[in-house]
Amino acid sequence: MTARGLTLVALTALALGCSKAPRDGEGPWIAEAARRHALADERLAAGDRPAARAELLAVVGASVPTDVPDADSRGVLQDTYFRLAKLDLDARDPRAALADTDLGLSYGKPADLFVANLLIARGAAHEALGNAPAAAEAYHQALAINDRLLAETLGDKADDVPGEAP
Amino acid sequence: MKPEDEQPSEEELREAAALAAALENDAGGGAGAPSDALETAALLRQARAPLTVSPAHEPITAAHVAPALEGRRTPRPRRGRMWIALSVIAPAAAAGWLFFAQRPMQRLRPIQPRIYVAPPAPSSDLLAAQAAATRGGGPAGAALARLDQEMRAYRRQYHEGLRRGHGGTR
Repeated sequence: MTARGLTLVALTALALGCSKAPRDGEGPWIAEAARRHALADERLAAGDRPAARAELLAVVGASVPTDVPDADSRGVLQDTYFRLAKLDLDARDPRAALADTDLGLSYGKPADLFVANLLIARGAAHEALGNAPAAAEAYHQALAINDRLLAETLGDKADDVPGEAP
Repeated sequence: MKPEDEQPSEEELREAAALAAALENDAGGGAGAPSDALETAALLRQARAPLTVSPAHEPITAAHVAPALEGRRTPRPRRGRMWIALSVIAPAAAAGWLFFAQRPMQRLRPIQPRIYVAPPAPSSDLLAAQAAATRGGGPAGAALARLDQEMRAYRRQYHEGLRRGHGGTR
């Protein structure tokens, strides 16, 4: 093949490569998040909290592909922020834990398990900071969601439709 | 200008006359002309007249020149231009195909509505741990630690569901 032919092939390949083909990024992103959480579990089992924290920070630091539905990314990220808040509480750093819960709740506050967990971590952080009213408020909101989830799990359908957390 | 330059000498006049005679008489005319006049005349004649080939040499000249002339008459292979054009057109066509062919295909492809299956229902143990954690107070972090422990199994289940395409939350 001549040099011109090779140039032509290279240019064509370049044009094909530059064309943005639709790609499904949800699967790999979730798989990576799951892998990081599993690694965090291993690090914690080995007593290495900083390493576990680093794994979780990688989850929240990664950019979420555009084709991941907001509801999916919200659940994964809020759950990760809950874990980070828990680690910061264990490290006696309630302010960092509070910041984690702020970040987590910034993704939305539907009345679901992940939001309830963040509110519990928020209550614990306020409690550690000596802010009892704020802690009670957060615990109360979490308990309301927990009550609804328990009712649904037990088959006792709640009368009202799921909505925003109080 | 010097006076002697204005008036040509007799010798100059003779040479001019000889050159004029040599130019006027094409073939052997100026027989009596000096050789330098004849050479000058020949050079001037060639400079203003197209190159001519004597009839005797015409067949030989034609045999040499004809192929070259024929080659110029036939269109030259446009390989160079063709390669340049291909280098531009082929990548452009490939990119265009991807752009115009893929987009309609995406539009025509039935939109797969994402089925937002609710995440796995939390177990009663998980909800009990969560309820205990909402009380706060208690032994430092014990209830939260239990909730964290219960969440691990739920989390794996949740991620697995998302990976299968059954994402969403309730």
